[in-house]
Amino acid sequence: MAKPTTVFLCIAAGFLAAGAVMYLAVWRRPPNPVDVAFQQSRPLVKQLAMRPLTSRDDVTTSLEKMEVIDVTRRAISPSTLDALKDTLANAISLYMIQEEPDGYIQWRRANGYEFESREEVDTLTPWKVDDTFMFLSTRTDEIAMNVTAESSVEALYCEFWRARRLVDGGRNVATAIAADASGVRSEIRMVVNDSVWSDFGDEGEGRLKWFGGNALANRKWFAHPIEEQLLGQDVLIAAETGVFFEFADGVRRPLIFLSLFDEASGRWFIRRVGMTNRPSTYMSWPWEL
Amino acid sequence: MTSTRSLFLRSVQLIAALVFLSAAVGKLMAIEEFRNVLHWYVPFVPRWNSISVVPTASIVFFETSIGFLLLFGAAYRATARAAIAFLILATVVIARALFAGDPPACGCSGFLSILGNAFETVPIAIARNIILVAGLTIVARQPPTAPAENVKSVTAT
Repeated sequence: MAKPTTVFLCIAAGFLAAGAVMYLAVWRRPPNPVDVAFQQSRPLVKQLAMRPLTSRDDVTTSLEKMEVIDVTRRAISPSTLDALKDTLANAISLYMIQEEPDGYIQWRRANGYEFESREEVDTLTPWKVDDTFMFLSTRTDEIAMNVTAESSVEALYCEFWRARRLVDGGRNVATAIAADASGVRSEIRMVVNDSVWSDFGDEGEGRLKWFGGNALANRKWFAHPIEEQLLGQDVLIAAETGVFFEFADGVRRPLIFLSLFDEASGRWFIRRVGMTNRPSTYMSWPWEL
Repeated sequence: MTSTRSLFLRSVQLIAALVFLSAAVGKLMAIEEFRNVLHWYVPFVPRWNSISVVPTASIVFFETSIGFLLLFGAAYRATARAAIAFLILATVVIARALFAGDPPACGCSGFLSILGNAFETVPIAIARNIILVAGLTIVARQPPTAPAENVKSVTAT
């Protein structure tokens, strides 16, 4: 074979391989299992009773209807359950209804939380702050890049708070909340660490409805000394509470709150918020915790 | 002496060809996985949209073309230089990602990873690239006579 022909054929093979990449990645892309599960769950989700989410009362009314599954074998007391509902009601109403972050930050601080350091915020999630901000800024022109390398963590937090309300047509702004036990459910159990939320929901339709095909966790901004101590315990009481919301883009999907109970103080600490049963294109964070 | 040297040069080309083609095939077999890790190594490549298919296709194009050129010993000096440039660029990108954090396996070893998970680790990829660059540098500095032709002539005698 003549050398120029060999060179030409080798380069042609390269183009062929690149073409194969384009074909496989763009035109023959298999359906995403996350999207398949999301679509399959729509008939189940459509049946949920919802109420508009405009005040804290809407949240407490829904939480009162919550289905509670207590598998701790020690029977969670009514006051402990009330404390859980109160914590969740505060978090949901301040985070989902308020347009500015001040009330949420004040509530966190009043409960003994402080902002993590910038390094910790980056360490606590594989999604770096800078990368995320770049990503968010590609989703809407309304996000002002008012942050610099010297910005405080609180200033960054406020930017993220506003950004998540603006991106993707309000996909993170809840407009309604489930009105009965079919859309509000809590499983309380003894756990050995905080990695329990992927077990949420029964097998079959329950799991399809609550979990779908994938989950995305919050970004963590606040730290509390008791919360860190709890993670050092051998066994914890943890509550996974799933709440269905309807968001401003018209999609109904749940958030699953993982809360840890401190028996000494009788307080619940929200450790994680997961966005489950979501379309694969929903890449923004469910919660700036 | 000449035959030993020619055999060495040809071996370097064949090993490099194996690495390049293996990497290309590996990416073709797991395109989505590679696209998902690409942004760890090249931060400006968006993770969330289809633009990332362009650098993926470009990388596969270079790996396949260089791999076949090395395999057939065609334009061996120019090919060796192109391979060196590609490997140095890849090594810098991988090293940057290593210093920036703990990047996931880069998928750089393609089907060679069946030899063991160690072939997928970033430090091994860097070490392998440095060795390949050293070997290909010797190939690139040869006088304009194809090593493959040397091997054939030696075998004939």
